[in-house]
Amino acid sequence: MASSHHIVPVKALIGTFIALLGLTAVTVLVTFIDLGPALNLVLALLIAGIKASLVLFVFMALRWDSGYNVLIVLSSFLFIALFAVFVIADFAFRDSIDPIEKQTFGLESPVKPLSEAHPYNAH
Amino acid sequence: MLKSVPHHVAHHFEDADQEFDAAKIGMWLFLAQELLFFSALFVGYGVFRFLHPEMFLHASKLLSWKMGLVNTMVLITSSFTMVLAVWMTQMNRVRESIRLLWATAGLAMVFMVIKYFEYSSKIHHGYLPGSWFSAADAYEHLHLFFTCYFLITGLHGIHVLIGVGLILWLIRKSKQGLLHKDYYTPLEMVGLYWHLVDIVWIFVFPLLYLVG
Repeated sequence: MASSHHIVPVKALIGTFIALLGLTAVTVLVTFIDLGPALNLVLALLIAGIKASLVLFVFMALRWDSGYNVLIVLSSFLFIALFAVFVIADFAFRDSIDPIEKQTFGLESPVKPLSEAHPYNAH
Repeated sequence: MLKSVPHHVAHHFEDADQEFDAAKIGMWLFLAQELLFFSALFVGYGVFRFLHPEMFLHASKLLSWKMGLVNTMVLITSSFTMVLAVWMTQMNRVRESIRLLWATAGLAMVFMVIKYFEYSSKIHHGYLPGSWFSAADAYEHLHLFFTCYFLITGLHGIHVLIGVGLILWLIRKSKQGLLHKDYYTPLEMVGLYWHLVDIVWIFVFPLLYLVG
């Protein structure tokens, strides 16, 4: 295991701070450029991802930390990605897989009585 | 110079390094869990935004992006003062470290005051979700955006307040001479927590305030 007592050089800290402020300005500026909603969202998440990485790797010194701690953090992000992709995919493709289920996720009435949803199950 | 009180390694650890590494693994596991914990709210946000993209575009404009921007700058600056506070203690400059901790706690309170003004204006407009929601709007699902807004920023705000409490505790410990270049585990761990609160906000700002 690498020594955890790494002292991050102050120049790296100041540089990161300036980069974070600069990227915050970029975040605001790209909102005023219309690239279409999808691309704007991807760009916003990309910039936020870069900022989060700067905080993680420099301010939180993950760059000099043991591989084990890096693995913990990266696996957390991996599981968030899995979580998001599967839930959104469910909402995006539910209609096409089972037409009977169409609109059952409508937020006015998210739940149906069991007897109504599955009449053959009503005893 | 404050008088340093030596730290005694707990008997189940071989040495101070092992104790520090164990604390750090525990902290990273906690932070990984915090990310997963927040991700539930972000995925909920993603689903609502996927189902009602135009409403999100409209609703985001009801928030003040300028207030969001100021708060982003305040929180990034507080992360910087926090990391400098850790660095000062590593250099055994505890007095400077205490000043930087006060600055961090002060910036956190500035963040909460701005949040307070934001919340008052949103509540005044009837955007508080649930049975309090009373705003009439062209979009009938507007309350979903504000449910996300209040839950995400509310949970984040609670984290900021807990952070302030932890920073005040660090100031007390530092003044007692318990934190110095040979032992600063609590300072480093609270620092990690504080940066995580910053990371969550880094995603909150574009997703809630700058939809389009």
